[in-house]
Amino acid sequence: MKTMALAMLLGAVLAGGTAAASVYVQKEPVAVVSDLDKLLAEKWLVAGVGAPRAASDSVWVRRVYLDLLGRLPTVEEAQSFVGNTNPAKDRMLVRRLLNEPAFNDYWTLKFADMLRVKSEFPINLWPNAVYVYQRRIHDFWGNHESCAHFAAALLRASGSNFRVPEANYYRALASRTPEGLAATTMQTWFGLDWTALSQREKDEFVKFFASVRYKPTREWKEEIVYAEPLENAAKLTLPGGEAVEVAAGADSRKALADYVEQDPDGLLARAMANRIWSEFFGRGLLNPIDGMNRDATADECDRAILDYLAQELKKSGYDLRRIQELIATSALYRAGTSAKPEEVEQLRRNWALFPIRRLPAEVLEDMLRDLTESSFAYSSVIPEPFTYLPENARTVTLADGSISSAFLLLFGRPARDSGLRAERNDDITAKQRLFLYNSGTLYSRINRIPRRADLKGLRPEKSLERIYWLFYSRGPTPDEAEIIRKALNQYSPQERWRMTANLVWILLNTEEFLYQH
Amino acid sequence: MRILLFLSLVLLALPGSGAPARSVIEIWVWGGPSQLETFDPKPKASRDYNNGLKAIPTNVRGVEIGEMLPKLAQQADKYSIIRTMTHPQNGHETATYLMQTGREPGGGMVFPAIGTVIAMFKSKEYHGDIPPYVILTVPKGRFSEIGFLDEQYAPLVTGGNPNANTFEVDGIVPPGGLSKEANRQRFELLAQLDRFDPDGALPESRTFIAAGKGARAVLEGDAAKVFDLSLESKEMRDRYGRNSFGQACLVARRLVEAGVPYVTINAQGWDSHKRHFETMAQRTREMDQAFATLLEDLAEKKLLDTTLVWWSGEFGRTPKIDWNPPWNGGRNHFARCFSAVVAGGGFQGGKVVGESDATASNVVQRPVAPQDLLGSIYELCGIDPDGMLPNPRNLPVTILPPESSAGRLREIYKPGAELKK
Repeated sequence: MKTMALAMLLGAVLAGGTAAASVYVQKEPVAVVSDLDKLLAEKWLVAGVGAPRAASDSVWVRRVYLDLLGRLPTVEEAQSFVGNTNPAKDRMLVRRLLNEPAFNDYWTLKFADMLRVKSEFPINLWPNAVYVYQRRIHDFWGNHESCAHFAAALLRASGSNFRVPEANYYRALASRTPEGLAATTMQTWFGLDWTALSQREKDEFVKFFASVRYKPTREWKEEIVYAEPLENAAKLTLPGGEAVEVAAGADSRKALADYVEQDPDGLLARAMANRIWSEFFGRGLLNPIDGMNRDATADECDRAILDYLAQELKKSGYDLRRIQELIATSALYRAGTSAKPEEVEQLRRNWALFPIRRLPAEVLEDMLRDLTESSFAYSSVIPEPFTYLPENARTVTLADGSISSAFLLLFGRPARDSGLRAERNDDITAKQRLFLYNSGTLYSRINRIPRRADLKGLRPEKSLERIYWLFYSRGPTPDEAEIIRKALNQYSPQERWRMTANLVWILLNTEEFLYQH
Repeated sequence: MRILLFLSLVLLALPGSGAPARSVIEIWVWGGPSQLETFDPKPKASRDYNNGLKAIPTNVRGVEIGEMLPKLAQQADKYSIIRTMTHPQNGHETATYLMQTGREPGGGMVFPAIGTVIAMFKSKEYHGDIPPYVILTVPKGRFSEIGFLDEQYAPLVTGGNPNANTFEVDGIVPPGGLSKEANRQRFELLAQLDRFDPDGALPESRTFIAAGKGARAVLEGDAAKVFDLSLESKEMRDRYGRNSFGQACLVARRLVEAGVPYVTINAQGWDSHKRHFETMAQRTREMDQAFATLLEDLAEKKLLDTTLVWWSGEFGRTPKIDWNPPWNGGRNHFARCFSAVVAGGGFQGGKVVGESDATASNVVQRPVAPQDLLGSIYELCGIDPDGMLPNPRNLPVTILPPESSAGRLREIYKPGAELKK
């Protein structure tokens, strides 16, 4: 109750000053409603920063489609949300999107990064195994599986890489030594950096993987993962510090898998909650998300938020959608992005501003695909055998990290070598902007936008307005409309399509289009 | 923050300019070229090894190379041959990784390739519009060259065909149909309509704005001209050979003239398991003409002293020919003993390093490990291969593992070219 009063008090203090509403932000601050919001409000209070102003509906609807589905809302989806006056519309939309098939596709991509799903060096899963493994991850999302169950299933897996998808957990790493397996497991499921652990911790944890073996079969690139039964009973130490007895003849990995499935110390819950948080806000509550034991900046409030999310995850039976819903309906997820330059860092540190980031390579590619209504096929001589993907396949569904394109390479798609989050690059470079300004292949694709069926037959002004909705999920402001009208008037009626083509090129090159904001 | 750390480490490891090699051209002979048909011929071995092919004299007394390389034979004073490259990896992807990074695969870290590392160190002195590392024309594939280094050092992969009428380097050579004036107007309108954070209140916006300025500098500067081969004479283009590889070598020379620190020409099609000799006849014809012309042209333009050229594949090929179907005269992967070539940039010409046995199957003396070859290239670029390599986890890793007991190729450095630590 104390926090409730506190939040109401906060409502009066605005972080971003008292500027008027814009296409990006509302006049009002975000509403503090949920328990998560109250924890955030405490952090704002401690830091003395005040509640952030709320993002506009247009910004928010674009934001939530991009984060949950990896695509822009259609014009109709955006307009129906913006025109909706139901006060519960945020939550309704989030719940709907969490159950869309596209949600499973997009979050499978993120987990495939984490689990290093690729055919070639240094992972060498090989194509068949890539596909069964990726499908298993997709089923995890599609079936609303408990992430504790999923992690445990991978940890206790034995069998053929082609027939037991989970067994690929033990193959998808650069180093298959017991230490390599141990380090990767720490990183993947507990969010801990191996190199920052004590020697004792390392020595104890390696023992769980000491008996993992691999053997080939007569089928090309098939491999069996198995564990040599323990010769003598052994006493091993679990990551939480507790001892566990493993009987002679047993598989020590099973003891670890059972531990992860029950998660008595909440290590898995915290690592997963932190990872999901970072997918929405660009960084975790503890950082880096795969080396939480190296964090040097998190304060009590950050830890309280993480504890709360971990607890909620546990309560939900390890259903990650629960955390995603909490985060996507939180006050922070509704926050605006702008502030005075000198305040940005402090506001972000205190979770009082939504941080912007360049959109991922695969998402950008799919946005271009949707806008230009052009499909293009991926083909790849690597890996062998020659790979050819259907034209209607979306880029976010690309299973194999080894199949790439110049576009994906340029825009920082991760190599999936290490599974570290830092492998995915969100920076923007001159090379990327050069490509967007000037690429011939891109140019021929975006020139198709003015010929879209939904733009045909529209008067130039209407057509340009719809293009704004297509790119930004909002219409042009009066200022923008005026600039465009002036530019349009320089063309004769027969030449006005050129202005449409120009506008498409312009919007494509703006920060508002290229960034999650 | 990360960039700052990178920079400070970079400054520490770079002892200053004055190194012989300003730029590097790497001819990557992807697939694994046969040592016997190129730089380590064995005319006295049986037909099962040499298929009756002969060795020819070169312009350096006592040095002979394969008869398929007559033009390169006339340039032998400019390059040195390493006949004893050796490593244990016989798979394309693992061998490529080893030859490009100097590291054995495995161990949990994926190291960056030499091109990106040199691009990073040389970026201290190179500030051209073209990115510091350019690959002609397709990526090496199978592994990501950037490893754990910062994105800005990732290679610019040109795509396109340098032998076409216009070498379309996507993004740099503008698409046709838009006048300069129309383009200017478009940018003006973009400036008016890009209103999300035009003053750069957010740090990401400042990066975005700076990247935009960098991109426009390339667009409006002379960068595209580097790729415009119509600026070369017809004779010069013919000298290099009117094929994609030949013209790529010419582009590489133009890039080096423009100061670009690292250029890779990715020569493809050398994985000749089947019908090896037919493949070699065609591949070596293009290679001989283009590589020989490149060396001659660099020397004529006084660029060879400051341009280090190296030529190698990930491995060589099995010396004993497999006459059985389905190979029908094929050679397979062979990493135990194979050849590489180095020229310019502080390397002496006309030398032969190491000696293989009578069938080019084993090293007889002076083995050269991948890290010895790469370490020599680093040293001649003024980069200490034993220096630290910045990495995101701040682990204490050196650029290369320690040199082998046989050591780096100091015996063919020019006098005074040694790295001053």
